Order: sequence, then structure tokens, then C-alpha cells
Amino acid sequence: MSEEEKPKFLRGSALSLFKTDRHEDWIALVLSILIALGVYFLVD
Amino acid sequence: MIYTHKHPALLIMGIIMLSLGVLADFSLMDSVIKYLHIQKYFGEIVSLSYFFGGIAVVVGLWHLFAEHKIGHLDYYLSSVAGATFILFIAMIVRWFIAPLVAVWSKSLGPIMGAKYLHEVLGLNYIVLGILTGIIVVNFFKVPAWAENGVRLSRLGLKTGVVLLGTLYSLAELQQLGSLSILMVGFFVLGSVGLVLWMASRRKISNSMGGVLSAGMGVCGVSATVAAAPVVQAKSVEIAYTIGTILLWGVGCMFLFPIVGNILDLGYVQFGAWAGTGILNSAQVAGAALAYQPDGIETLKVAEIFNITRVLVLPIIVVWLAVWYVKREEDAPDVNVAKVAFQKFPIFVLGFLLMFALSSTGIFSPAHHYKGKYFDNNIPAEKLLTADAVATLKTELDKVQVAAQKESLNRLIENKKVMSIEDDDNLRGLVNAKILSQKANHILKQAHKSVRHTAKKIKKFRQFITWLFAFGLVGLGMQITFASIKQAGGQPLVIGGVVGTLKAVLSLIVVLLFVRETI
Repeated sequence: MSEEEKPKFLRGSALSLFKTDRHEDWIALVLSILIALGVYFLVD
Repeated sequence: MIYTHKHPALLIMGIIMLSLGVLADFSLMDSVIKYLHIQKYFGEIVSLSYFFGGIAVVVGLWHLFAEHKIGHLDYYLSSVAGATFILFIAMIVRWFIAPLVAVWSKSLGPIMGAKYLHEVLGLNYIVLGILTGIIVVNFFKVPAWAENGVRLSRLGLKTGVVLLGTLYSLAELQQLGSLSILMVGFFVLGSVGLVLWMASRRKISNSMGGVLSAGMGVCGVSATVAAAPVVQAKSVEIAYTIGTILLWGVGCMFLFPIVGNILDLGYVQFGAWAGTGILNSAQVAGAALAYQPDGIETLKVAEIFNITRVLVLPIIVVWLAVWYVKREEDAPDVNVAKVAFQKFPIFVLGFLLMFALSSTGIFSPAHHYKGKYFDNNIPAEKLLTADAVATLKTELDKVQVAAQKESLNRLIENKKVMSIEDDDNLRGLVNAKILSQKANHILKQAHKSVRHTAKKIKKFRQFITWLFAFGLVGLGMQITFASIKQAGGQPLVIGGVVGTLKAVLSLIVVLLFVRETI
């Protein structure tokens, strides 16, 4: 097992804070949509 | 398990960030800003330092003085320390280290056409950020209080990739010449396919093969970063790919102009070849300028091919997503549609959604590329003055190239640039340094008047920049020397073989099919 795969945390994985990759994808999507909405309405 | 560490580091970083904001805001570091030529970062130095410094101080106080219990609050808020640590390093690299490297590099003078050493070597904030992360983890070790937050770096990359879709538009793709689409389409898809095939033959992991194929096929860092989460690439695999691309690009920048001169390639031929064969955008520009330092024709053609290549990225991302899912399922008769639905990376759909939205023109005129577009409906005060027109008229005879002379005549007649082609011709005229300084200044002003940057896209670019900087510094912190050793030298071999094949084959295609027009 490589160093970056060692389980250091009881939640998430070595590379992510989130339960699954799909969970992380959803958070990224929601974050980017929020940013896009912010830019669309606030930047003139 | 309680994740929060009662450690003052977050509070200290917050105070330093706030101090930085105050120093910039109250003009106390003007000399540093001037020396490093970072006036363009002034706004973000102030706003980001205040915003994130404020958050870090508040959460830092909570880390130090609150009672922590097992739960979501402890788990997620503990990550603020690591996230701030990454962001703090990204700020230092982007605002101070990368500009300092640029200042030193510029003091040496240009080495390739108009390109400086740091541009040739690709030593920008992205590469320096990854290097800093690698140095931190290997020589100092990531502190325990930061470990949880470092795991947020991939979220930053994914969010940045989704927003990357806003920079491109379908209209731009439609405007490109059919030759560039055919040639780039063939070589990009061919390179991706070849890398994937070689990776499977040489028993390299699917994730390494996938990320390397995007990097070698499309173009450099953006493609690598976009493809990495799709194929679940490890940090070291991403770094390996970026390293391979940059090393390859440096070699190409020097070799391509030499070969071009030996074969006496025309400007269009060389631009087509460089835009297809060299991977990194800055290095494409470097090679084109090295080949034609006194004009812009080669650069323009190379840019067209480069843009075409970048716009293939959405197709590659979807291809890799389906390919990876199928490979990882390890079953030849896998139901791709079903598996893709279950495992397809959702953020890729976000990238495509942003690309589609951007193509409708809601963020910028639909024909924009990376937020830049041509529009000559300008107010009267931006038209050329009578004095400027008189200056240009007196220098008209100096222009020998017919297309440039016609464009200059139209500019004089209409007092503004009339088309994208005219704008390109006049840029070439400025680059050729035939006219006086005063006339060149007038032409530059005329160019600025008709070239616009969409504010919304500019803002998106800022977000993407910071999300990538954050993600890549964190990524660097996950790369140990042991993991680099474990990855072995195979990716470099594959990258070299595919890169050489692409360069040689694209040169043959250029020699056979490309004439001096597109």
C-alpha cells in the first residue's frame, strides 16, 4: 500500500474529506453553480 | 475521533493575511508591488487577504478556545486550518514568488523570440505551487493540524474544472478553419488513443494512462487537471503528467524553430505544426514567436490550432469518463449506459453545462474565446483623432505588405478597426516595427478600442485561477518522493514516444497538405 493510500482518517478517504467521489462531485457542482449565479447576478 | 487541533497556527495565519491586506490597502507595500510588477493583483491582495484572513481569525479562535466534540461541526471546521494553510502558500506563490522569478528571468533578457526563461520553462504560479507543495511535504512534513484540510484540494480542482466550461463557446469552434479542426481532431484523438493503448500494453494503471492521454493529447495543465478526477488519478500521476508535458514542451520550443528553418517552412505551415505538435499554450506561442520574431502570422495560425485543440477538451473528458468506467468494471460486456449512469463523474456534466451556458452567450457575446471578443461599435470619443489620422497617413508609404496597407487604409478612412482580420493585420504591422513609435501607439490604442474582455468571464477566470492554485498546492502536498519512485519512469517513456510520433506525423501532414493559406 502506498503512502498516500494509508488510512489516516476515520471518515472520507486519503484524498478526500467526503464519503464518496460522487458526494464530492455534487459538492463541487453545487459550489460552482453558486459561484456562477453570484457572477451572473453581481458582476456587471 | 476529534479532528480539531488546539493549535494557534490558523489564528496566526489569519493575522498575517489581515496584515497583508492592511499593508496593501494603506499603500505600505507600494515599493514591493512596483518592484514585482504585481499592480494587477492589487485588488485581490486586498480583498482575499481581508476575506480569508477574517475567516481564519474567527475559526482560529474557535479552534483554540472552544470545547470540541465528535461530530460534523468538528470534522468540517477542523479542515479550515489545512485549507487556509494551502491557500496561504498559494497566495505567497502567486503574489510574490512567481512574480519574483519573473523579475529575475526578465533581467536575463529574452531567450526565445520575445519569450523569457520563466516562460520557456513554464515557471508560473501553477508549477511553482506544486513544487512548493512537494517541498513542504518532503522536507518539512504537512503539520498534523493541517492534514484534514489538505484533503479539500481535490474539491477545489473539481470546482475549477466545472467553471472552466465557461471560458469556451461553441461559436468559437464553428469559426475555426476546417483544416485546423480536421488536423487537430485527428492528432488529439490519435494521441489520446495511442497513450491509452500503450499504457494498457505496458501495464500502467488506468488512472495514469487516462491522465497522461489527456495531457499529451489536448494541451498541458488544464486538460490534465480536468481529466484527473475523471480517471481518479493520484497526485503523483498528475504531477508526472504535468512534468512530462512541460519537459517535452521545452525541448520542442528549441527544436521546432530549428527544424522549421532547415525545412524552410512557411509561416502558416510552421504555425500549424507548432499548434499541433507542442502541448503547452505558452510554449506554442514561444516557438511561433521564435520562428517569426518580427510578425504575427505564425503566432496567429498557431493560436488557431491551439484553440481548436483546447476546444476538443469536452469530448476527451467524456470519452475518458466512459473509458475509465468501462475499464474499471473489468467486464467486456459491461452495460456502458448503466454503469456510466451509476459512476459517471457528475462534475463533468457540470463542465458541459457551463460550456453550453457559455455558448448561449449569457456570460459574454457568444463568439467569445476565454472572455475576449471583437466589437467595433464604439463611442465617438474612442475613434481616431484628426491628429492620429494625419500621423498614420504620413507613414502609409512605409507599409509594403498589401493586406496590412489595405487594413491601415480602412482604419484611416473609418477611424476605427473594421474587422477581426484588419485587427490581426494591424497587430502584425505593429509587431514588424516598421512604423514610428507614435504610429504604433495609435495602432495599439485602436486595437484596444475594439477588443473587449467580458467582465463576467474575467471574474470566472479569477475563480478558476484560485481554485486551481489551491488544488494544485494541496496536490503537491500529497506527492512524496517515495510515491514518485513507485510511479517509475514508464509515463515519461510513453509521453516521449507519443509526443515524438505526433510531432513527426504532424510535420509530414503539414508538408503534404498545408499551403500558405487556411
